Amino acid sequence: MPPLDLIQLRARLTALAPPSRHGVLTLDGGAVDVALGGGLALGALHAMEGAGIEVETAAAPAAFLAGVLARMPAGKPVFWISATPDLYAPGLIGCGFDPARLIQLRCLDATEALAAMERLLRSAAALAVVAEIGPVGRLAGRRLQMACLGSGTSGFLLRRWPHGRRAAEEITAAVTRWRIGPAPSLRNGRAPGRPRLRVALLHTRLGAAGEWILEQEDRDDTPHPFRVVAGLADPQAAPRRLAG
Amino acid sequence: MWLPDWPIRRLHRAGWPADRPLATVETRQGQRRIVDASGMAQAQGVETGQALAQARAVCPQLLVADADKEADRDGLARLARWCERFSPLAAANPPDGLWIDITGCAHLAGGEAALADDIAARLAPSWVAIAGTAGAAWALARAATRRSIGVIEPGQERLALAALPVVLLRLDERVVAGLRRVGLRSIGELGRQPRADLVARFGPMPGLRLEQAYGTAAEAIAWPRAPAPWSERVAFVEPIGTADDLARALALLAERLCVRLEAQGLGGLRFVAIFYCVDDRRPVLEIATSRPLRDAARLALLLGAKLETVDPGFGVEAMALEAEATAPLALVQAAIGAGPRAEDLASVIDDLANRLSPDRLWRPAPRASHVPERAVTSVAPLAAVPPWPVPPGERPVRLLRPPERIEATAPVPDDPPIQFRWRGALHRVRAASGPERIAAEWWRRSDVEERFRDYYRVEDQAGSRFWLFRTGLAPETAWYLHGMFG
Repeated sequence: MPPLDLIQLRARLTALAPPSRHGVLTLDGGAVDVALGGGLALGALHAMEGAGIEVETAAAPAAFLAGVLARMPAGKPVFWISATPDLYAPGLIGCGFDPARLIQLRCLDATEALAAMERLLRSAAALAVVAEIGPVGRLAGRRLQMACLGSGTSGFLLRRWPHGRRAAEEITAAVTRWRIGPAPSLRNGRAPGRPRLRVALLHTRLGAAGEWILEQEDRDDTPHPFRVVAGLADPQAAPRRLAG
Repeated sequence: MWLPDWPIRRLHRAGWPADRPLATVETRQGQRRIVDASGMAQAQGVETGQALAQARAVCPQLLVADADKEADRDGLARLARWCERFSPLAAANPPDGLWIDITGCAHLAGGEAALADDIAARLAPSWVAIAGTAGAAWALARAATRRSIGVIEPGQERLALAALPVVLLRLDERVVAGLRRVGLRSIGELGRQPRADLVARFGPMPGLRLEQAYGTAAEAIAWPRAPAPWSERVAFVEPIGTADDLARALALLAERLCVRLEAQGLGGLRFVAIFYCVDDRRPVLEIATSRPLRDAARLALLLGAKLETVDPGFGVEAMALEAEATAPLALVQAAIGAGPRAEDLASVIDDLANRLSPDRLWRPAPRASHVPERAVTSVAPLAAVPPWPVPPGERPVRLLRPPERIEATAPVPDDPPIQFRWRGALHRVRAASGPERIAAEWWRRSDVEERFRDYYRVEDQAGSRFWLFRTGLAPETAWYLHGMFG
């Protein structure tokens, strides 16, 4: 079947059964949204992890998430749960997110963080809940996903392993799973250009996996937080490996 | 209430054998002298003020402890706290007495006489007197000889005190001796003297103490706890200890308290549950709410969540629930036929703050400072936050506190480094911008000794962006990594 028909078919399926009963958030109005089957599902659980040293520092995933949260409807606060409070509010302004909407929560271990996250997700008081957390069991993931579905609150698991030690791959009940790392920017002389993120959609229930280089959209008149600079197959974007 | 020989009793309670004569000593003018002696020691001829050597000669098996006024005072304060089971107002009256304000509490124990009996029995040997004034109660407790309990009806103070010696008016020794010299021995005689003459000869104290005992002058007692108008208590016939029972009692108290608060249109901001244990401990549970709370079920739930931290020991005899701070809360009528209301933000935040700890939940707020780590402060989760100013330069998403020292190679003095090593990994700088100079706040000491920092935004080969700064002048420059951009 030609790929165009596949896309049309998917669009019709999406119309019949939307990916989320709480609506979707478009990310770029193009390739990424198509891969997601319409957009990032709201009122659902999403998991993100860093690539390379970002496994530990989780700066690129945080910036990506701030861009996503910035475009979500205002009104309710966003909760950010972490063990190490190194999130820097003025830095979020640069990602388009107003820190006045943020409430931070420090949890000492994963159990505490998961309990707090579930409590927040079950209530409809929050717009979204972000938890920086390492291991998430299968059962815990399912509970969180059910809590999201019930209340319409979006949940984001920001997987973060201290000391860079990563546990074995786990199956979580998250609707989408992402790996987010930095990408070299388009230099402006000696200075770094606009920040770029290398975003890989590892798993999604309704669409197809993919990988893109994204740049944050700086114009306010578009509803999308990101702009695709290059797709995975683009030789310009793929890291060069030379054998010799 | 009078506890004779309190220092001795305290030592007995602390584990000193009660079957041998005991005395406390202190060093006065280079000599060890007896301060207090137990009844057994006194029977064998040990007296207060005696030299220790003399006392040892009279009573060879005498046990001796150092007099410790501080410990006596602490012990008395602890005992006063224990006495809060009789009334919320109980205070130590050093050196050897206690005040308990039983106004409005006596009926709970079956009348004043029954309450006095109860107190005397639990704290035997003690002399308990109940009177309308503190002065009269003090005098009567110490005057009681045969019966250990004295109750005077209100208004009878004058009559009851008339025959008692002036010593019982809480006057200092010099004044008492002076009164004796002029032949005034009983309180009644003193009361008949013209007040002006008394003041001229002995100062204001005799007259004041007399009026305080008679109830014509006010007397203030420093209660250790401010009387909380929003307090509910429940005492149990048998001590309770299971979690279920405690939770049920809490729910009962919450219900009573909330009904009272509702009648006044108030809600509590801070609640304290106090557990009076059989073994003299008094664990408390405290919760704070971000908005006034009057919902008994929620209050019981918030307290119940922390109940496991309370160790009832051998049982809890009485419980109290107090609203320490209150604020107006308008009456809300539940809509007819409405389902359960959507849970509001405040109740979720209270729940989390009480489960974790209030300081682990915060909202970042801007602070007027150029030093990055000081530019953010934290406020309460529901507090209003001033609008965030646009940062003067690009700021990272993650900020390391404190900044981490790195080894950087910067061949040109005022240029960004060409490479640096952080946490063991080498990063080659691909692009950099800066410097952004931030001066230290000279009026404050910082983690790093410095005058200014030159910040650079650098991007390594992989595209990771870091916020580095250099401090100090060449050649003593040091490089730090302060944050990561996304």
